Amino acid sequence: MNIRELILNPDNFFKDLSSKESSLTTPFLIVLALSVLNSIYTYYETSIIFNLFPPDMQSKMSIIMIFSIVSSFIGGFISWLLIAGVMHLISMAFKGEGPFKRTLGFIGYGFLPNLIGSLITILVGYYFLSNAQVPTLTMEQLQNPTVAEEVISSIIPKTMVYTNLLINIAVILWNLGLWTYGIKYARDLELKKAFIVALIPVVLFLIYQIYGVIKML
Amino acid sequence: MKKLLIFILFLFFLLLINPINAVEFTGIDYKNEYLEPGKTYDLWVIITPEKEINNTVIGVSPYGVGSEYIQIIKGRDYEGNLLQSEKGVGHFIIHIKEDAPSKDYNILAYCNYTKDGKKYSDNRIFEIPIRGKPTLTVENPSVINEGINRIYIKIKNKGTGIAQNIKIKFEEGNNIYALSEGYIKYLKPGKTGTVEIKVYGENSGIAKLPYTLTYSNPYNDLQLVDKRETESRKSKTITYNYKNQKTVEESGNLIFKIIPNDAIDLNVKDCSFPVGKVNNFTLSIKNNYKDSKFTVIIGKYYIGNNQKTLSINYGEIKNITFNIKVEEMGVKEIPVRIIFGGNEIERNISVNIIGKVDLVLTGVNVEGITEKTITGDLSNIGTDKAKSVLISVKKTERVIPLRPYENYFIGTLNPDDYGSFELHAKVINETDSIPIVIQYRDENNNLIKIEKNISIKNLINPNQSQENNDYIPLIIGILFIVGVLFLLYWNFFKKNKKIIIKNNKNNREV
Repeated sequence: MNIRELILNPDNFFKDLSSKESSLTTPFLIVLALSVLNSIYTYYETSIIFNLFPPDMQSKMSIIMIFSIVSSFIGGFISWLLIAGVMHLISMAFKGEGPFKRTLGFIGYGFLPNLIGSLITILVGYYFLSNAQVPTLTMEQLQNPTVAEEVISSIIPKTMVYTNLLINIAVILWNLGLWTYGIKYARDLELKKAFIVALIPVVLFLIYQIYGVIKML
Repeated sequence: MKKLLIFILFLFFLLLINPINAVEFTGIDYKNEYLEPGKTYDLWVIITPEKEINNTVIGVSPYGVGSEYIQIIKGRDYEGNLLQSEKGVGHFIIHIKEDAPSKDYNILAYCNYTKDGKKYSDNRIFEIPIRGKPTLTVENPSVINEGINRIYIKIKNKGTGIAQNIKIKFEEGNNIYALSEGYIKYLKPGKTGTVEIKVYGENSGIAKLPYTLTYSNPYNDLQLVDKRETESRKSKTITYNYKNQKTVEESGNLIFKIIPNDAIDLNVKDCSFPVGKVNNFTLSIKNNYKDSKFTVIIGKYYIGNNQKTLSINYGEIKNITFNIKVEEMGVKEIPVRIIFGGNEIERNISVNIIGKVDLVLTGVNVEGITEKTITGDLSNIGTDKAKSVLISVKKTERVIPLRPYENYFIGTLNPDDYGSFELHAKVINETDSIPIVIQYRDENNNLIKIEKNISIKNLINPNQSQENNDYIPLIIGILFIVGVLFLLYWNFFKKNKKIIIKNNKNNREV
């Protein structure tokens, strides 16, 4: 895989790739690395947040932590399948041609920005959360959503939220670029049609991201 | 074996039939009831020979523990020839050492002589009683004030025996009168007793107070007063006249300097000090006497210098400060000696040494965001106990105490004791601290209130310390998005434009 070509000239990269036999190994490794990074970040963040809980609840919280890590890990693969599936379906409306395996592979390459974004997000998270002093709350306080939200927002500063939002927007826009060229050559579409196909899941994802940020603020 | 036994019996029989002592020790005389330590005595030993003896020498030497305390000055006396039944009197001089304890000591008297050309020696042990004798001295304060004074007279036994029933009486003095008498039951050798006497100093100047000191010995003390010899044709009679000195009466004068009653005004600035701490003990001296140099000495509890000198003019008030530290609570007396213009006065300044309560919050934990639960300990690290200790949340614009623990009763906190507490409060506006009021009663039931603040800064905003420099990640995020946008622009527009231009060039060439 020529990463430089994928970043600087995705059109050429996918064009070359379309002439070869499709392989899922490299996209799988990209998504796998992304899932591992997401799991690490989930572990780090939840282990800090879980300090809010009283000591007698810490053992129960470890089960939730394992669930969150596994979810983050599987989430990457599910997103890959889901986005590839949605694009494949939408491209049918534009009379796109090509096997799903190729769509899956090309969309997988498009997760490279997420991998870079995750690396930056982990560093930013460590920068903000490494010195955070997390108070232990009582059960009554934890059951009060206002209190819990206030405490979490006091631990996670607004600057961190804004920084992550910027990184996520950048990643999504980059995804749009890569997936446009990816679906173009995977389904043999015109550039404009490919752009529309890629735009629909990206917009949905972007709306979800902005909603999450608004909720945090 | 049988021969040996007969020989031993024969020797024993010879000893029985031959008298050993040819000289009889008739008596010992020292002309006193008891001998006193520190004194030198003449001693006479009288012998009576049963037969005529020649080259007779009589001697004495201490025996047993007596050798430590009895010193022989003249221990041998030559008598020469003594006829049968003729008395021989040996004269000796002995000295009883100062430190000789009162008891009966043994002394060995011996007699060396020749009889029938052969040398013999006989001896006998006598007891001599040594009894100490008390010697009392009287000390009085040199300076008193005009008017009534309560003075302490020191009576010291510098002798070697116990003094009993010590009484000191006073006669009308010159410029001074005694208003009481003194009595001490007994004084052992080397000990000092004090009697409190009230005296009245009439006018300033020198005063003389005559006194009579009486005390008694525990033993009879026969002192040789008179010796008379009467001689008749047949005999010579010596009469010794003794006086029993068991009860001693001594007279003397106590000399005082009477100074004006208001020569100085002595006050203490602060008479309450916390126990166990170094404090400033400040004396205020007003000079009503005349321009003088004052030397002030404190006798107890001082740290560092206990003597200071300063000049005070007539009518002037000056302060002098010493460092003192007292380790016990209660009222304590600090002896103060002031020497000025050849006068010396002693005063005891009473100071009240009090404990001090020192309450500190320890192990404080604050939980909650708007509704705070404050738990912790209140520890008394002071030296006095705090009674009825109550801790409460102070109501402010930002903090409202919440039931049921708007206040918490801890009770009595002794020194080195602590009490746990729990307080509830609601923070209605952002604040860094919750004000706490601690009230207690001290030993004198005074109500004391202390205000303390419990910091909640970290709980409200744990990342506040990072706020100042957390724009660096944001800048990185902005640069990242700018980079991505540039990349997209390059990929979608500029590159396509270049390709179009390149295609157009190719078409022209064709």
